[in-house]
Amino acid sequence: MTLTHDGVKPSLPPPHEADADGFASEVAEACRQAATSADSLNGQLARRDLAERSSTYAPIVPRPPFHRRLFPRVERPEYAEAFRLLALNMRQVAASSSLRSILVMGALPGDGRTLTAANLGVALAGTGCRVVLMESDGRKPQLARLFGAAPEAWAAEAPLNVDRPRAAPTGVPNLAVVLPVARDGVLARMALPPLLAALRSVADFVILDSPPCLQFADGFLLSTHTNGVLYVVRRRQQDAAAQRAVQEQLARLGANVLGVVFNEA
Amino acid sequence: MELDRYLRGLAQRWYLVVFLIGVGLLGSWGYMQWSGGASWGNFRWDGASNAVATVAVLEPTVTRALNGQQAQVNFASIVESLALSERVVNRLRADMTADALKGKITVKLGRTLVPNVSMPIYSVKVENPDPQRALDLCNTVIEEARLMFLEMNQLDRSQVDGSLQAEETRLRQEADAARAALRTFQEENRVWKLNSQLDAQIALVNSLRQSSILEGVSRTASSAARNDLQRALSEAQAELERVRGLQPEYERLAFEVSLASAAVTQLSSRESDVALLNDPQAQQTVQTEAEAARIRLAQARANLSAFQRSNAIGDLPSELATRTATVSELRRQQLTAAAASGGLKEVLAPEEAELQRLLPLVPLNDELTSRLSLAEAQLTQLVARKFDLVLASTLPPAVQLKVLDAPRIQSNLLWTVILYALGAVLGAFVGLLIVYLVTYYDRCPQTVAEVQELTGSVVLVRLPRAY
Repeated sequence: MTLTHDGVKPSLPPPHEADADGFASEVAEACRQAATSADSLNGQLARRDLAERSSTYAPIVPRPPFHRRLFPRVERPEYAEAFRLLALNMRQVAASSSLRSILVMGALPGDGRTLTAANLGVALAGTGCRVVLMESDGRKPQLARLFGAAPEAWAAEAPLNVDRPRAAPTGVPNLAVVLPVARDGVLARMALPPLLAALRSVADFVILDSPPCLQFADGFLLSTHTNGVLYVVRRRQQDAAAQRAVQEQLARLGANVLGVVFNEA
Repeated sequence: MELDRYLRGLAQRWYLVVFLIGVGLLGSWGYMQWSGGASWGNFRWDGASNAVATVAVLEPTVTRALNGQQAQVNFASIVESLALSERVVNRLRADMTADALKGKITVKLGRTLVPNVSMPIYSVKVENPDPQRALDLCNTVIEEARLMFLEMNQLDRSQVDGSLQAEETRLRQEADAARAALRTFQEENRVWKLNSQLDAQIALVNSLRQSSILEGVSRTASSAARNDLQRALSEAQAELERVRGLQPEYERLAFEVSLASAAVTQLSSRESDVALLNDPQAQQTVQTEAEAARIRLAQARANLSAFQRSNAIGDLPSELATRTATVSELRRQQLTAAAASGGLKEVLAPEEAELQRLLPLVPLNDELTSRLSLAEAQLTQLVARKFDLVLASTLPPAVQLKVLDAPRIQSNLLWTVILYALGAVLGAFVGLLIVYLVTYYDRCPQTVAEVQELTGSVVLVRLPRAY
């Protein structure tokens, strides 16, 4: 099977052909297996945050800071509406371009990349799109936890093979999470394009979470394999020079920066 | 910094202000516990209770002023003394030190419409976390202070005599010295009652001058008549000299009578005052003093009478005046007769010379007389003060110290509210200041424009707080 690698820039070395074909079929199979096992897993996984949500497509909210835990939690509707607006923007961009995979990037830990990716996925799923959230932060995977299951739980359900991705249900219709193909926490560059192609074939949007790009280069690597980059900036002390360096680096790589998500939390 | 930016920072960090207001309130509460002497188990939200009593005191500093010769302690000093705190602690067997109690007692001068410095009104306040304990302490403080006040300011007769004896002796010596100086002056200059003498001499000279003008002057006085006149004049002058010689001793004795009489008057007046107080001890003391004064007066009068009898004189000043007038008249007649027979000039010249001799002596005579009067006045005053002292100590405690308002618990709600408000305001101020500083030094991107400038990309969405 010949794959068209959307978003792969010609300047980058092409992946290994033979391995790519074989591995791509394995990934597709794994995804199918994950999709078929999603319903059985739904009732087994502990999903604290999901249970607390008021509706299926409600956003996943961050853990409040200490002083806010002293008072009753009243979620602000603006939070969900912001993601609905973001999803609408993404759909609009996708309608006029070939946007299928979105990388959520951020400079520093705690910027809100994972929450943004997860909630964007939920919001897009709420619009009827089929969305796959891909955990690309192999060092500190958080996506699975957000949806109520730790990677260890998945490992217990089906032992994790570092070269075989696992798909997991989220409790949200049209939304699935895929564990990364990781070896010692480092994304396997060679295995990524076939996996993305396989996921794009079964989903309308593939959203990738990434490690902080000022600490690890994974984000830049992923930006070369995706159609667009959402850059998350949190309201906190920022190093303007570092931010400029990140933007320059993305420009050098030819990344398609869709825009910035300003996280005021 | 723009107000908008500060308000945004305040909205983000409001919990800092709330926290510091809480710290301020907690600090106010802690201060009240600390200042009120509270311990674990008896904390109150409004700190210590204040028991306040009002006392009117007859202060010894005014009624017994003695130019520092007698130590005097006023009521305020006694209340604030450590000795009083020790007595109170020992009496109540209180579980606190005298120093701690001393720090909880406050005394201040009350304000009155009439500023009566001799009887000030004091307000005594005792703080304690337990209201009943505060009342007990305040009661005991007042009682012990009253006892200490009386103990420390009580005087007896021997103390007064002992302290004033030297002063009295000195004043008596001064009076005697003044009398002696005046007498020496009079003897040396052959003058007695200089002012009277001057008046008589002036009258005599004027009379002689007039007689030379008048036609009715007897020019035919016989030598026998002149001799009789001369003899009568000599006898009158001799008698006058004798009486003048008695004058110093007479004046001294008369002064003693006057002194004793003043004391009797003073004590008699106090006797009637004390009779109204229904205090047998005070009455007894005043009566004893009055009796002694009366005996002294009788003795002085007896001495004076004996002197008068032995010297065959009555009231010396009037006798002196009479005899001086007699001598003057006789001299005038004698000189008039002499002028008629021998010529006016020869008679008038010596008399005018005598007048001229007397006139310059007036200033010195006046000075010596004043000195004597001053010494006698001081002595009179000292004796009167001595009796004042003795009589003041006979006043019963109820007169010297009256409790106007018994100890009562005073509401300190206003102070409590003020203190809490102060703590809250201070906490809010510090909180707002910290928020200001944090916001001022906060370089986080705050607006979409700042983020776009930072990243060079379009901001698609702003994610607000989830809560």
